[in-house]
Amino acid sequence: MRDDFVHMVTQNQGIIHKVCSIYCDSEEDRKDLFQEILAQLWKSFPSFRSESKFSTWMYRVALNTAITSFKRGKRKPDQTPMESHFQIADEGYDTEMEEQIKMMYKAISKLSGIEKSITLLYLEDRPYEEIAEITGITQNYVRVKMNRIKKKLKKLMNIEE
Amino acid sequence: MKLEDLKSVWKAAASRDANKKSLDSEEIKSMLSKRSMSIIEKINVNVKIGFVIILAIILLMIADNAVMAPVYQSWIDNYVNQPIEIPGWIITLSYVQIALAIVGCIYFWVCYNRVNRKNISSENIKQSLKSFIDVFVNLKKLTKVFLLFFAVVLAISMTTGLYIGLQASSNMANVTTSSYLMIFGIGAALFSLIVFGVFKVLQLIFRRLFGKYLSKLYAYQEELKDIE
Repeated sequence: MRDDFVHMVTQNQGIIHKVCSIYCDSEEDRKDLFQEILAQLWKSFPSFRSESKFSTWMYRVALNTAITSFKRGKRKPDQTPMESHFQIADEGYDTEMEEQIKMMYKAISKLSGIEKSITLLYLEDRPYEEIAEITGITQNYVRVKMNRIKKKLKKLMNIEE
Repeated sequence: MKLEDLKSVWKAAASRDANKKSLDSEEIKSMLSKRSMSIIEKINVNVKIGFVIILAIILLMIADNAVMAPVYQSWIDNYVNQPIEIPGWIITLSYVQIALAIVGCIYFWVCYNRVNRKNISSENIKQSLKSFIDVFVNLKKLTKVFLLFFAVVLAISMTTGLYIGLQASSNMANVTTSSYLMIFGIGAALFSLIVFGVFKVLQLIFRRLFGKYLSKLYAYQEELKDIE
């Protein structure tokens, strides 16, 4: 079972990386959260039923873990705003794209835990039905919340209507 | 940049990160063995610490009844001229108080394990959070019931002690009304101090063990309520 689990997680590890990148500002926090999500996935794996897709289940566990994770007090992510996201963007991308990535992460970092979950799934092009299934809220509320988030992001990124 | 461009920016960042951060299965396996703790797991550890503290308090209460009560009786016998006996029903009342604490602990443990058996991360977070937080709200209520019972038992014990003490006093005739009032005042102040002290200690233990973790869970619950 462990091998099956490791194989499936290795195939879908992008989901965990994305969740970590949206919830953590520093590399150290991302590593911690990655491990925490991995452990929660392993703990929950026996309860995984094939009623939903593996990726849907993985999103749910990863996002719930990220929302309920507790950063150690000694680290203050707000004091290192998005530098690590910017530092990664050093090869193969133009400066404009780097700036846009930085701006996007900076705006997302200002959102609340649940808003980050919905934003990530929206950016991943997940249908509202699946977002509702993952987050446990109804499709209508997902739509309402997404509209509010869009307005918030526009404001945060100084995007004009 | 337009809001519609966000998705393409996100995809660019994601594909870049995927290339840089991709781990092989061996790395994933090794990461499974080392890990940090989530809020729920920290609460799990602190629930166990809380139980050790409560167990120590219960043992102290049992020791007070079983060991100290005879000691108090011998002090009374040695230093007071009149024969005074601690009423048996006061000891019984103390044991009822201990029994209440034990029943409360068992009730909390059963409720907590029922909720904790489910893995919060793989369940519907809104419902899981609610049932998880509800267990702690009930724990607060249980603590208040215990404190109320403790205050009642203490008040009854102190009043009885005062009454028996005064009745047995050989100088009863010399006791003036102002002396009665002073004794009553000191008793009431002592009673308030003890009840307030116990309340503050229990509050402090609760805050230190669960406060910051529960407040974060409360914040998420509020946010989810907000969405509705």
